[in-house]
Amino acid sequence: MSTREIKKIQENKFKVDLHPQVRQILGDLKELTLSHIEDNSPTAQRIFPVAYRNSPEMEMDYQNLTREPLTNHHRDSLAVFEKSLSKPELTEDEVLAWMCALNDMRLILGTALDISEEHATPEENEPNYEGYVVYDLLTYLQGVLIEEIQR
Amino acid sequence: MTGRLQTTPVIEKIDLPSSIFEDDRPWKVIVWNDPINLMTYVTWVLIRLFGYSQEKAHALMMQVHTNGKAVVASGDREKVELDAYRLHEYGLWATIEQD
Repeated sequence: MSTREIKKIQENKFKVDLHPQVRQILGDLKELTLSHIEDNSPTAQRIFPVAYRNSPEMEMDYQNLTREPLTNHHRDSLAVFEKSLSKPELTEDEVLAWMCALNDMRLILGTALDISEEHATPEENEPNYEGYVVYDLLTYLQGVLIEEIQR
Repeated sequence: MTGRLQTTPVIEKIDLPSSIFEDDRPWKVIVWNDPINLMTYVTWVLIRLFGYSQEKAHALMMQVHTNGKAVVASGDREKVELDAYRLHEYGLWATIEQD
């Protein structure tokens, strides 16, 4: 990738230049991530962490209080991401939604791949090769977003 | 001069304020290391949510990375629950404990 795919060009304005195939992959991943959240799959538990490790009662209260708004937050971020995925420019609010959406995708995919701290992308003929390539793409894009939003 | 009681008083009802029994030890929010969240992302989230300086956020992130966890915020229970919730919104692995 030779040029920055996402670049802050002025206050509250970010230029996006993603290959159509990348947009397609990101759109598919958004659907996959949302389905895990809606189905409350075991993989999705990573984005609904336990808050009180030492008190089941307090944990139950916390989950009762936060589960719905937290689910809505993830849904909303993914919805804004999907809606703005084909746009050539993003506002800062949209970039913030992208940040959360990309992170959710990384958490879901990384958990499914059982990513470790020192993971290396496997060889092309190894299992889950494509999953690792997509995970690395998400990592790259999130890194770009972090740099650009702090400009 | 204080007069001394000549007999033991009969206490029929103890009416102490409930607040003296409350556990006022401070609560803390702990962020745990995980292999997925980027180090730069964790630093950015700490700056964004808590207004920490780049240096402080980076130091906390490094503590998470090297020690496995770091206390990133503290206060009363209501406050730390909100802090933990906001960290959960950003996908960080945060828990709540009392000192």
